This record gives sequence, C-alpha cells and structure tokens, in this order.
Amino acid sequence: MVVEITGVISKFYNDYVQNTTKKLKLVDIYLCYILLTGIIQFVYCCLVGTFPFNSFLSGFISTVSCFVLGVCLRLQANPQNKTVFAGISPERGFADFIFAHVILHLVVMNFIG
Amino acid sequence: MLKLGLTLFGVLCACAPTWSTRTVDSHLGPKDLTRLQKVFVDGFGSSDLQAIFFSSLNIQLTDATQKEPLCKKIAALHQESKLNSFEKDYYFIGASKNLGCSAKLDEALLSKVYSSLDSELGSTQEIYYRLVTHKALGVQVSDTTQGKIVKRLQELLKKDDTLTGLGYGFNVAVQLGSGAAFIANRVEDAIVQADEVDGKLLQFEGGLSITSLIINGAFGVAKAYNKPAPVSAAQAVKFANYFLSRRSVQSAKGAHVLIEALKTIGADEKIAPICVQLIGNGQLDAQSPTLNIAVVDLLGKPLSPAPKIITAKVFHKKDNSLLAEKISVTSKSSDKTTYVADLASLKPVRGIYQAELSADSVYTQTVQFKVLGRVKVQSLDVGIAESDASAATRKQSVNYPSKLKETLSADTTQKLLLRAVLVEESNNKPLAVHQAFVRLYNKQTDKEIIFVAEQDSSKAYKFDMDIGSNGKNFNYQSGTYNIYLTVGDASLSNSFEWLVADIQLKFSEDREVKPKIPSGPRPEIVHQFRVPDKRPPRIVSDIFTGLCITPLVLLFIFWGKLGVNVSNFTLAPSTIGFHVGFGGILLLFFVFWMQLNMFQTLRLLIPIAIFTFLTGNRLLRRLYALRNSKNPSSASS
Repeated sequence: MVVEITGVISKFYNDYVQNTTKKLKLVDIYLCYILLTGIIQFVYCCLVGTFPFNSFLSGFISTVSCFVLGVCLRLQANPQNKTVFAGISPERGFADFIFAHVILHLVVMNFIG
Repeated sequence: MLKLGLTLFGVLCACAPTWSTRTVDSHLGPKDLTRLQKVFVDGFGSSDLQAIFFSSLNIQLTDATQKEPLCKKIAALHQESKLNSFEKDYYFIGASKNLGCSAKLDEALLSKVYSSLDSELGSTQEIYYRLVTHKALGVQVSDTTQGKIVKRLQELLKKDDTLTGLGYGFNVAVQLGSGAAFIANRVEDAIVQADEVDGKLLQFEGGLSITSLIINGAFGVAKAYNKPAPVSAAQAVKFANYFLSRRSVQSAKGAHVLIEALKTIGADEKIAPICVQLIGNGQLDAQSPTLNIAVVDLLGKPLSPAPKIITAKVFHKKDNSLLAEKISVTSKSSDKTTYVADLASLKPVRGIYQAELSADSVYTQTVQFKVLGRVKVQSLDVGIAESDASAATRKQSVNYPSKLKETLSADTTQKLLLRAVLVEESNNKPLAVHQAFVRLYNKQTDKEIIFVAEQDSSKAYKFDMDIGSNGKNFNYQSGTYNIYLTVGDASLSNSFEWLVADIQLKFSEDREVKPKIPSGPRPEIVHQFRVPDKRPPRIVSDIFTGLCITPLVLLFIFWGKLGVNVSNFTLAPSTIGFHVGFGGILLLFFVFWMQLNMFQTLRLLIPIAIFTFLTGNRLLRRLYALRNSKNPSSASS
C-alpha cells in the first residue's frame, strides 16, 4: 500500500519534473509561496484572533486573490491549453496578470487601514 | 304577532326616557332675558342699521342726549347701507319713529316709499317691507292698492314657493287682512318642510330668522282667518325647543325674532308648551324630602290660568319600582311659579328617583332627583396585632367623632387593624359607600399615604396593614402618624373625614431615601469610542511577521534551484521603463498605505499607469516577436 503510494508519487514527481516547462515551474513555486503565506496568516488568525479585522481580511484576501490570479496565469501560459485560450498569448496573459494585480492591490491597500 | 310585539316594545322604549307631553325642559329665565337685553343695548352702539332698528324696537330710549346722536347716525348709515333699498328704508323709517327723532324725513325718500306700492314689486319680501314701512309711517294703504298687492302676491307665490317667499307671504297676508285668505291653504305646505333634529327640535332650513319668520307668519295667518293653529302640540314643543336652544344668539335681530317667536308659540293656549322643571340641584335631604318644581311658560312667567291639579308619580330609577302615585303637588302661596310636593310621609330611602309630573292631565314631564341619606358610624375598632399572630390582638373602640386618647405604637413585626361598621342613620342598616379610605398623615414631614378600606362579608369596612411589608410606602420614615377615616358618597349628605387615632410607627431600616433633585445641570456625556480589543504581545506579532517573510525566502531559493535567470533582460528603454513604472506603482501603493488618501493616489496612479502600460506593451510585444523568431512553429498562435 505504502509502496504503491510512494510509487505513484515518485512517478508523478518525475513526470512533473520532466514534462513541465521551466516557466510553469516558476509559476508553481510562486503559487506555493502564496499558499504558504496564506496558511501562516490563517494560523495566526486562529491562534491570536482576527483583530484588527480589516487588516487580517485584506491580507488574507490579497493572498487568496494572488493565488487565483496566479492559477489563471498558469492556465493561460500552459502550452497544453492553447486550444482553449486561442488568441491569448502568454504575454497577453502576463499583461492581464499585472493589470489585475495593480487593481487588486489598490483595493487591498485601501482596506488595510 | 311577534313583530307587532317587538314594534310596540320599541315604541315604548323610545317613549320611556322622554315621557313628556306639551312640556319643555327649560325656558327663557331672567338670566337669558338680561343677556338678550344687553344684546339690544349693545345694538345701539353698533354701526349696523338693522341692529339699531331692532334695538329701538325693544328698548325705549328716553334720554334726549342719547337720541339725537343716534338719529344722526341712522341717517348716515342709511346713506351708506348696502342693504336692499326697501329693507334699509324700513329700518331707517322704523328706527327714527321708534326713537322719536325730531328731524323731518327726506321728502324724496317718502315719495319713493309711497309710489313703491304702485309699481311692480319683485318679491314677497319687498312687498312685506314696503307694507310695514307704510304702517310705520301711519299711512293707510287704499283698498284698490291692496287688491293689486293681493294679485301680485298670488302671482309671486305661484312662481316662488321657497320658504323665504312663503314666510314673507304669510306676513304680508297678516297685514292685508281679509283679502288674502287664499294664503291660509299654503301654511301647511310650509310647515311640512321643517327639518327634525334628533327627534327633539324642529327648524326650517336657514336657521333662526327663517324659522321665526314662518312661525310668526303662520300663527298670524291662523289668527287672522280664524283657522286652527298651524302646528300640532307636539310640533310646538319641538319648535319651542329649537328656539330655546338658540337663546345664546348674539345679534339684535336674532334676539328680537327669538323672543317674538316664543311669544307667538306661547300665546296659543291650545298648543302652547309649558316648562316644568326641578328647582335646585335635584338633591333632596332624607330628613325633609320636599320636591320643588317650577311650572312656567316659555318666557318664565307664571301660567294663567294656573294649572289646577298637579300630581306626581315617583319611581325608583334602579328597578322602576313604584314608590307612590298621585302625590299632590301644591302651589306655593308666596310664588305662583313654584309647586311643592312633600315626600316626607313616603319615607324615601337613599337613591335616585324619577318623578312623572302631570298638570291637569295635559302637561306631563319626567324629572329625576336624588334622595340623600345620612351615614352613621355604628362602631369602629382600631388595634395592633402581631404579624405572626403569636399574641392576642388588643382592640380599642372609638366613638365618632372623638379621637383615641392614647397613642398607638407599632413596629415592623406588627400590623395595624381597623374595622368600621357604617350604617344608614334612618334604619341602622349597613351600607356600602363609594369611597372609604384610611389616610395616614405625618405632620412633621407633611407626607401622607392613603389606603382603601374594603368591605368584608359582614358589610363592615376593614383595613389591615402589615407595617414590615409597607415600609417602602412610608419611605421608612418612622414617626407619629394621624389615622384618618374618609367616607364619601354622592348620595350621602354627610360625607366625612374623621381623625381616629395617632400611631407611632417604627421602621427597622431607618434609611432615608433622599429624593432626587431633578434640577441643575446633569453631568456631561462624553462620547465613548469603542475600546480596541486587546492586541497580542509584540513578540508574537513579530514572529508571525517573520514567518510571513520565510515563504518569500523559500521562493527565491527554489527559483534559484530552478535556474531562473535574467538573461532575457535587455537594456532597451521599454524594459527599463516598464520595470521602473511597475516599481513606481508598488511604491505608490506603499505610500498610499502610509499617508495618502484614495483621490491623491488615483491622481498619481493614472500617469504612472499609462506610462507603465505603454512601456509594458512595447516590452511584451518585443518578447513575443523574439519568441516567434526563435520558434516559428508557434507563431501562428
């Protein structure tokens, strides 16, 4: 059982390392970073409390939104999804990503207090 | 059958409360007549020709110094008056005659008046005023003219059968005499148009002056042509009620026509209503119950001929049981209007009664009166008992109206008891009163507290106060209190308040509750902001800030492992511009967080964003071209 699972995992990992482009790996690491930050914020909130609530909320929303935007970027930049996002080049996706971030952080900064 | 019975029952019920025929409840008393007289006196002072005329009709001025200015005034008023010429001519000529003015009347005016009857007169009102003007001047109207007027009157009444038209028509006919007999047939037409109000009043639409005009005219016509009275006795009562209800009239004309109409109705013996009413407030003393009744005509004068026999039938109001019948009510020798019935022989008990009075079996009236009783305190015991009934109660009797000699004293473990038996003086039967209170009054503090005494099963009034549990009511104020017993009832003639005894009350908790002073400035209310929640210790926050940064370090480590490089970074202006611009935006957000507001931020953001957009666009375009040149197969996308 354990052997099977480790087998599956190692196969999955190898497959990932070999078949994924460098750019996507870069984005994946970025997503992991965002995820970790969000988890730490959540742990803080559980341990200490939500006060001041608006600051917590803006921070948490910021991480969640960044994660979502990152996933979007990854979807658009993935060569396997070319057919779905026909007409949207990775550069266009990156420009959208930057634009959305500017708007998002304007709101986050406004809310952080 | 049932229906008929019900109808009869309904009729009986409707009749029951107003069991009266040919009588009214009130009359024009001396007070009203004085008031109306004052209206006439004030009328002379007014600048209204009509008011002066009616005042002069009712008050004979003898003082020459008053007359002369008035004569001048009416002449001036006649010139200015906006009334119809026939009306103002009549008021002017009538008033100057009544006042006895020495000044000759204007010839032009007189010739106008004389010639008026020859011309075609426009309304019955005009005919009436012209005729009475002739009468005031003492000029006889010739027979031929009279004949012409009768014809004209007939014509006018054919066209105009309004109430006003008919009313003046009747009055014209009275002036004309035998010639206008045709009008007698029109009287009924007018009377049936009267409106009934609440089944009590009859009036004509238009108010006092029209009603009075028609009533005076109709009675005049009946008298002139020897016809029966134009209204029935029941109608006469209702008309009289209406006129009496208008006794507060303010104008001189109103006052005049009111008195005239009441005189007219009262003059016809066959139908004239009379006034039968109680004298005084209707409260009779049980010792000497004499019922005083006033029997007068509408103007408050004694009747002539005086009614021969007046009898009364007295009921209890509560259960309609008969007290006595055929009680004779005799005239008081000193006053012709007052009739007296002595009820002493009937020994009426305390209560409310109704008397049905009947004069000569023609006039009947129902009046309500009250026989007052007297209350007597048969016995009163006052005492102090232990609250827990551990010891026998010591009671002391007190006789009305003396006061207990010794001062009682009680503390919180005891209670105050009081028991009073109230009886009717006449028959020594216990009675219930509307109000029975025990009042405790502290002279030093001028505070009092009142308790209700309740009647127990033996009809004695009992009061029982536990001192311990009532301390709050007394504000825990120990001291000497006076005990008062208050007995009152609307049907008692000797309601009383009796100081029964003094009592020394001791309350254990001698805390004085200070009354709050409501005046003076209240403490200022400072706005309180919400208290911020407790923050975590500094070290915890710092640790977590550090923890939040660690993923960033991890990010760079992994990126480094992955072999991220900046080999694509060229020193083209668009590349530098984009990175500087984007960095600028992030810096701006940081400054926004620290000190700017949204508007300032947006103002700064717009140029930077445009710059970054343009440079970014160029950069990405270049990267795209670069990628396509490297890998032409994917250029199609």
